[in-house]
Parts: sequence; structure tokens; C-alpha cells
Amino acid sequence: MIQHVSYALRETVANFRRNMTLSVAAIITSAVSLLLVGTTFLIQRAFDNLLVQWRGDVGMIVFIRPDVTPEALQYIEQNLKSQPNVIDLSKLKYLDKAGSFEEAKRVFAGDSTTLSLLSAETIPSQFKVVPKTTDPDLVRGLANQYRTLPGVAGVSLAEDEFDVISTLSGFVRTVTTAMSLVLLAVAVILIWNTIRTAIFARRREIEVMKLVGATDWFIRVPFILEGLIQGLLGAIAACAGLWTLNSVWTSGLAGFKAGTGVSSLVVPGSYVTSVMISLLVIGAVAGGVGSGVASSKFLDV
Amino acid sequence: MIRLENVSKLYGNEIVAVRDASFDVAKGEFVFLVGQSGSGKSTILRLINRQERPEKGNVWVAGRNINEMSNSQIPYLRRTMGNVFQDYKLLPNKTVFENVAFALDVIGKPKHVIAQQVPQVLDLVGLAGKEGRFPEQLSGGEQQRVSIARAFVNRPLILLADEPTGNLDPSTGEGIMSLLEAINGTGTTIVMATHDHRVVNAMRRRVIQLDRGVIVRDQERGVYE
Repeated sequence: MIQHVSYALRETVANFRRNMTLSVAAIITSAVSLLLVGTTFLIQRAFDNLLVQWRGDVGMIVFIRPDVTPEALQYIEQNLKSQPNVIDLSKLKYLDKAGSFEEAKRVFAGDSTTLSLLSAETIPSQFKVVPKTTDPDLVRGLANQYRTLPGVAGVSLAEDEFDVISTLSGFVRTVTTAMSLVLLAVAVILIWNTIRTAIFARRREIEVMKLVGATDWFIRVPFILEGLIQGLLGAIAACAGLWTLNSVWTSGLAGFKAGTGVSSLVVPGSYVTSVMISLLVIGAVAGGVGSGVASSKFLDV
Repeated sequence: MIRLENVSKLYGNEIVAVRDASFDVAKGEFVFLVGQSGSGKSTILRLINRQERPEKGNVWVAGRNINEMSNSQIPYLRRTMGNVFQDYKLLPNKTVFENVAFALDVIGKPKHVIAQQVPQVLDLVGLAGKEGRFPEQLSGGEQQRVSIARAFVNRPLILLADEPTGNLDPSTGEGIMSLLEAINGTGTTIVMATHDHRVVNAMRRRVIQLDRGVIVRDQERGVYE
């Protein structure tokens, strides 16, 4: 067994050296494609942060003062529910202080100043309102009406906040996803081709191996390992790139004034780490699949 | 040891390489397959080591029908046989020692076994002292000896030789033949395809003659004709 493992590793390294230029090309392509995949994740997450409070067709948010009396809160709720023809009551949602605080953590992820001022005690709770009407004037009229109710801290309208962002986010998401998928396919094909070339270069050796009774897997494993390592090296490079990109992005955003909303675009480090782990997995799987297919296709007994 | 039963092999749908061939080879026998180029000699060797499968008939090796073996069993079949070729099929970037050791390495033999068996077999084929040379530094006869050493190092039951003297001058060829005879003397069954009549006539072993894929003669202690 140890004999087999050491053989496979030796052969993998030797193949790699023999095929240097092709291997490097395959690694760079997988690195670029995976970097793009990672960037897509981060961009999506950044937009999600910005839009998290508007999820589920929410058209209006009525913020309630933290020191509201139970009577006033009940009055506001009754007021909202009294207009079932304009407001979709089934989707009306009250987010209490704890829920609002959880959400704020994402919205203000990159704005530690604002976040430090908030706590589960001081944060306003909120009603998420989904209007039935699409008439913006009617919605705006409702908003003005709610603003005057006692205990209401303020009312935000979706169309003021996020229509542009939402459209932009959808567009960017589609484009980056498509590009990264294409590049990922190119990376797999390049790895496949590298392995094919490696097999061709060693066809004489492989013929002898088969004749003296080496098993298929014994012959195959070094090639599969080679592809897997290429994918993994590409992924490691992509992770380094992604980390750098995110650091630059985060420090760039820090220059904006707090509370402008731009700070929501900061992606927390823990999320970046999980994206990086996914990239490593995707890279290894893509490389393994590419080389696995090539080696079973070109190593027929 | 080897049995062919009504074996036919086609290339494509029209070219018949072997037609309805049947013969038995006993353990320890030395058999020549003779005939013109393209008469099907090499195809029969390739049917025995299952590089090819017949369209009709069965091939038995050491009591097992090898056509019914799954692909995963083939490597173990091949470990019971050695192969020698006209063009040696040595790996140019490996030394004599490494070329022979390779055959043991890829079937997972431990290092100490390799270190013990390779010098033994190199001594047997008369290449002691040339372990560190590369194939291009050897004569044709010496390269063929390396190839025989590689085929024999695993002590196979059967040795298949395809025109082993084809690229060699007569006296070098004789040396190779006495080596094969010595190997046969250890009990290894040898099937050798050749159109070298001098070799066949000198040895007087069993001769199976092929003509366009058909066995036309199977004679004990035969000559080439």
C-alpha cells in the first residue's frame, strides 16, 4: 500500500514537471475562473446585505420607537390592519427588537460605529409592509399617514431605497455567474487536455505497465491526482486573490461616511472564509473530474 | 497451459486475422508460431495475453477461460505471463536496472524484493555489471536481453515472444535463443512468433504454421519449410 502511494506521488510530480507549461496554463485558468466564482459570491452577499431588510416584496418599513407603549404599538398595528384592500395582511410582519437587531448586524456589518450604538434594547422594532397596490402615490400617501401616528419613528419606502440596487444586483449576478461558469468549463477542459497530453507522452510506459500487469487504477491514480492538484493549486491562488480583493474593498468602503448605506456592502470575514473553502472544494472536484474523465477515456485496456 | 478452441478474430468486419484456430500448449512446452507477415502470428499472442478478444471461440490460460474474465481481472492474468517484442519496448529514460525493476514496481512488489530479484535476473541474462546503462548505450542484443529480463523477473508461467530475433543479426539471435531455451528449461512455457527459419530449424521444437489466419500445420519437432 505504502509502495502504491509513494509510486503515485512520485509519478504525479514527474508528470507535472514534464508538462510544466500546460499545467501552469491549467492552474492559471482555474485560478481566474474560481476567483470570478468567489467574487460573484461576495458581490451577491454584499447586495444581499443591502437588501436584506427588503426581502419578500417588502414595500414599506414602519419603524417603531424603542420606548413605545404597548397601547401605542397596538394602535399602530390596528391602523395597518384596517386597510386590507391596500395592504397584504397575510404578509404583514412585525419584527421585534431582537429580530431587528439580528438584521441590523448584517445591514451595518461594515459600519462598526453605528453597530456599536445599537443594542437589542435601543433598536427600533419594525413592521414590514407589503402593499397590494402598485400605485406609488397611494403607497407614499400611506407612508405619510403612518408617520404621524404616535410611537412611529419613521417610515422607509422600498422604491426610495433599493429599486436601482435591486436591478443592478440582478444584472451583475447574471453576468458574473455566466462568466464564471464559462471559465470554469474552460478550466476543466484545459485540465482534461493536460492529462490527455500527459497520457500521450507516456503511452509507451503505460503500454508496458499494462503488459506486466499493473491495474487500471494503479495507472490512473497519478493522472487523477495531477488534475486534482492542478485544480487545488488554482483554487489556492483564487483564495489568495479573493482575500486580497476583499481587504482592498473593505478598506476602500471604510472611507465612506457612516450611515450612507455603502457600508452594508462590506462582507464579513467569516463569510469570505466559507466562500474560500467552497472554492477549494470546487477546484479539487473540477480538477479531479476533468482528469478522471480523461484518464478513463484514454487509458482503455 | 494454453488452449485455443475454434478461435476467430476479425479486424473490422472483413479482415480475418485468425480463422477457426484450435491448439493446446502443455506446461513447459516451447512452441513456434510461424508464417508470413500478416498470417496472424502476433494476433494469436495478443489473444493469449488478452490485448485482443476473439469474435468466436474461447481462449483458456492456466485452466481459466480468459474471455469470460472481467477487465479488473486482466492485470492478474498478465502477471502470470511475460512479453518480449521485436522492438524491445524498453523505456529510454530508465536504466537497465530501472527498466527491469519497473515490472515489479508497478505490481506493488516491495523494495527489498526488487533489490534482490533484479540483479539475479540480470545475471541470468548475462547483463551483470550493466545495471546503470541506458538502453541507447546497449547493443540490440543487449537491449533484447533487458526486455527478456523484464519479462522473466516475475517468474511467469508463460513467456510470449513476438519476433524476438527480428532486429538482430544471426549470431546475436542465437544468443537470445539459447537464453529463451534456458528459461524454458526452468519450466516456463514459451510461445514464440517468428519468421526466422534458421532459428526454427536449429531448435527443432513444435511448430504451428499459419497461412492467412488459418493453421495449416501443427508438427512436433518441426522445421520452418
